[in-house]
Amino acid sequence: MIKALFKKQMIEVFSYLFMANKKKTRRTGKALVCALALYGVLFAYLCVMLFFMAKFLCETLVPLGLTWFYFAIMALMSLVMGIIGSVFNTYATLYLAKDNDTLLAMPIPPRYILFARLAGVYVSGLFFELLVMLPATVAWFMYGEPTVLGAIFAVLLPFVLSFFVLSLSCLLGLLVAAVATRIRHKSLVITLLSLGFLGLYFWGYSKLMSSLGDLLTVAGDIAEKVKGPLFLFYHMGRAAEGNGLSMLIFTSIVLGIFLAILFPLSRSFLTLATTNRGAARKAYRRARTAQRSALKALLVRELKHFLASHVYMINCGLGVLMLPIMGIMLLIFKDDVQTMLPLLEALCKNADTVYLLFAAMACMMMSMIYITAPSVSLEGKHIWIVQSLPIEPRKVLYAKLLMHLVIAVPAALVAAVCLLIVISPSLPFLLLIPLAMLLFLLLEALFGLFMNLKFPNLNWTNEAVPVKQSMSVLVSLFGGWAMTVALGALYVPLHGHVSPALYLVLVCAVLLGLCAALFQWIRSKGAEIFATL
Amino acid sequence: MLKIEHLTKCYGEKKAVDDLSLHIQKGEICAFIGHNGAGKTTAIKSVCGILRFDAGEIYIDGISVKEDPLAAKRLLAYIPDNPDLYDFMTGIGYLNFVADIFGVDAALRDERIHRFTDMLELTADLAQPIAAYSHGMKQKLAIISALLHEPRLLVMDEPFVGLDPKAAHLLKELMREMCREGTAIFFSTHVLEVAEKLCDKVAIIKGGKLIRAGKMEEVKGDTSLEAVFLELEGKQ
Repeated sequence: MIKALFKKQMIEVFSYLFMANKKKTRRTGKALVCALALYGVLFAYLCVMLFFMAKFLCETLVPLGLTWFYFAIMALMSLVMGIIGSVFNTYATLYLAKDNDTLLAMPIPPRYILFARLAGVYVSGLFFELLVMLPATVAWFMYGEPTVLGAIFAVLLPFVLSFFVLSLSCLLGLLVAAVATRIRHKSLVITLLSLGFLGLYFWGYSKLMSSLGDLLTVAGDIAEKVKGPLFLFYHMGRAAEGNGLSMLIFTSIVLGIFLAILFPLSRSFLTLATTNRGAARKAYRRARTAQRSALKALLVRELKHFLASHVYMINCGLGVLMLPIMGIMLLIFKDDVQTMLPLLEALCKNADTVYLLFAAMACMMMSMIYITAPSVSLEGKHIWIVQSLPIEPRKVLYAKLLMHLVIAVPAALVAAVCLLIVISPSLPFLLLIPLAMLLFLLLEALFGLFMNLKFPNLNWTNEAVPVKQSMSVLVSLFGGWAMTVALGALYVPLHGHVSPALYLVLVCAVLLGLCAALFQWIRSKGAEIFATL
Repeated sequence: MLKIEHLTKCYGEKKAVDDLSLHIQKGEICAFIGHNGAGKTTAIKSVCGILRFDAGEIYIDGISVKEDPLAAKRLLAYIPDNPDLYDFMTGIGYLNFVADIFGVDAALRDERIHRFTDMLELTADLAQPIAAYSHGMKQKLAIISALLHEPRLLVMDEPFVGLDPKAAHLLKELMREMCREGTAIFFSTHVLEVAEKLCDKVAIIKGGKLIRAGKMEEVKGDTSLEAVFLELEGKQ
């Protein structure tokens, strides 16, 4: 029985890989190879990027005898990835799955259902966690001095560590579920709670990372200082060195924490999964509503969906929050940034090149906004509504694009204004930086929609599946970063031949061209695909 | 009002609907019956422009669903067998959304919404999110949304499933009233007694093929619709 449940959960987790959702059939042959290759390339690309950082840290810390500190840093980074990968969908996966009622009506002990659901969360977290731990382990094998036992432990550690990610995710899931059954503005509160949790984690993480600046000179002192607070990761690192006792301590603590959380989780699962005390009943007051145009009605529909789903908001719209925060932080630390500018200018050998760097950073941040990427999949079983109503399919797609822009453009503008105040660039950059940012934002919206039309998934049991575990979302998120890196890298050979301002003009032209091409595809071919989903 | 001509729809190798032809006039109620998997839902979804079909033609008041789907959709309303509505909207939000799409003006929609929600006893729940609705309440909301633009063709897939006896009775009354005003109604059902009492026409589908269609009295003759249906099911 439990095997069947696990199988069902894994099919759901990996549905984006094996299911050609447009036709609701399994991918076989070439299609499967292509999907695996695409994900493989994406995974490898991210691993390679992180490998260079791991290599640097490994080469710095291992000769100082601080192997444990190297693993502690990498583990903390992987926790960030794992948490991003799983923490926000735990509540939805455990308690809001559409098949909860069906499964609970079957002769299955509720704890089996819970275990199967937890397996899904574990695998999601592990996938993201491995993006860091895999290159970290490879770097350790290449540039460290692993013993045989250390090598075996190093391979096993990410799988144990993922239980820690699972524990943190469950803790938040439990907290959210306890609150969510009693409140009216569920999505808003869950979003704030989740962001608070994330903020707290990042605060602790940034505190640690800020110490890394002095690492080369005082790494030993820092390691000694943080050994106590990072007791768990100290033993993780020692285990990688081949210390059996540390492996035992690390595994015992992680599994102990997991079991301690599992106990209340297991006891409350049935109650929380079936309770909807919800909000107090809202009285209906008759009021005449103004007539809207079809496009406006569709836009309002999209916005309502976005604002009603904490999974959607947190995962796809985190950048909307980060952009103004980044802008305000720049204003707060204006003096520090301005002190840094001459150093950066000297480093770049050209004052204007620094502006390109800032524009690239802003684009990196905007890649975290991918609201359109799951928007087609999120139509789910409701898709019959727009398909049966007299609406042109392309208008539905326009509304999705508009939603992305309505939500993201104000945030981008706030960030752009703050950035421009702080760096006070010359006139061409004053115009080009915001233009490049807005074009990048538009490209992200179009690219997300394009990917989702290419890889739609209308069959899911909770919204976390299309929002987190889908090809379109992963490619949109990492594609934005890849695009920024590619545009940045392209400047290196042109440096000296093309002025930064001209280069930014060329970037804007490329972005505009890509936007035009994608828009044309969406309004013709994309609309055709949407109509036949 | 509805003219289906040689409709064929395939899923891969399998013909879900095979050369189906059917005509329904203004003011007629036609029941569409058949066993599970016979092709009823596929045919209905093709009529509503949700599914593209492989061959044949469908006309709604002379407008081709294939050539001008938007114009055809403006004339019809569709109620699915399982009303998966937007959980993130309130009842009144959903009705206003549908009214906006059909371009029903504010005064008219206000009057219609409250006439139908009062009739189906849903007015008090209009401010609740649809997520909090029962299956029956969702079904009622889907029915009300389908009536807001006064469709000339009403297409329903198992409309009585989930409705309480009173609501089912009211829906039947509503269907009769709409027919008197000239609306054509095409609906699938497994409740043969309802079909027999309510409908002017009946179409029986099996394995994607229309095996019997015509005036109710002609099809059932001196026996019951159930007897005819069971006999046809056994024969084929």
